[in-house]
Amino acid sequence: MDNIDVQETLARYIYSRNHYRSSDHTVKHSAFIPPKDKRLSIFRISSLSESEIWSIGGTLRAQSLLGRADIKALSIWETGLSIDPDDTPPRHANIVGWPNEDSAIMLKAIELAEKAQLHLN
Amino acid sequence: MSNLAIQSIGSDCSPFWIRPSSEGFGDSSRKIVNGIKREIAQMWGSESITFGRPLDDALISLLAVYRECSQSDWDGYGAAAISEDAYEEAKKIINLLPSSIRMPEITAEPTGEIGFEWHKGKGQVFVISVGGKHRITYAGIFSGNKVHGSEYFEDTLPLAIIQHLRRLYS
Repeated sequence: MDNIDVQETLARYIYSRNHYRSSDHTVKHSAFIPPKDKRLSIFRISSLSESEIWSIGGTLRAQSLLGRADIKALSIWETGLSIDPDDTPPRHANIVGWPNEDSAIMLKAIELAEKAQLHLN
Repeated sequence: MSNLAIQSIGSDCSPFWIRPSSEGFGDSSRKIVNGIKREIAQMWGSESITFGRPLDDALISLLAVYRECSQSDWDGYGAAAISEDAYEEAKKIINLLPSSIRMPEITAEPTGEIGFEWHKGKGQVFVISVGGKHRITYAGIFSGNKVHGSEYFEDTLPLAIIQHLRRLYS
């Protein structure tokens, strides 16, 4: 795929109720806390239809797909993080460049969650 | 009664919803307690006072999170299971929260820690997390100002945490 554009939208698929607030329809920071390898899985969804976007997330995990957090590439870069588009599987990318300190990671996750838009399945 | 008052005025402000025995807890005592509630509300500049029910709700919510996330990979991305130590420490946090502070949302974190989130609105959020290792990790955004750090935690809530919460609700 092409290089990532600033206006491109990326999705973090959500499989746990812990990652969003039903009360005000917003994303929790926990959705953006990276795993141990500090590569937070996301998908490039610009130019896809809604049904195509949902079908990607629906086939990835054993858990039911509950929703997704959409975020602009620009918002990720503004947070001081980077995007590594590995395209494996197709359209896949990772948010990388996380700091080492746990509290600094938490702050980045809060910032991403604040900029993300929740869509429920 | 004096025990109640002493607990209430400390800088860490231990919760005083711990109910004394019903004996000798008549109208006059209740008036004094209500007075203390008002004083603390003014001291903290709080928007709400939480007693009994919110505490119970928080503990129920914590238990639900623990049950739901006590197996690894609960988030589909290989999350660590929430440990019993993290659960016990989170219970301690709830019991130590000043009664003038609104009860947080409780959430599991992929690291296996339990998070407490005070979300006042866009750009107004403070989060702490514990993992049963006597350490509180925290981060917050207060209208563009950002903070993060960690504090040792044993039996009292660190002053830094209370100060950030006061900042959020001031």
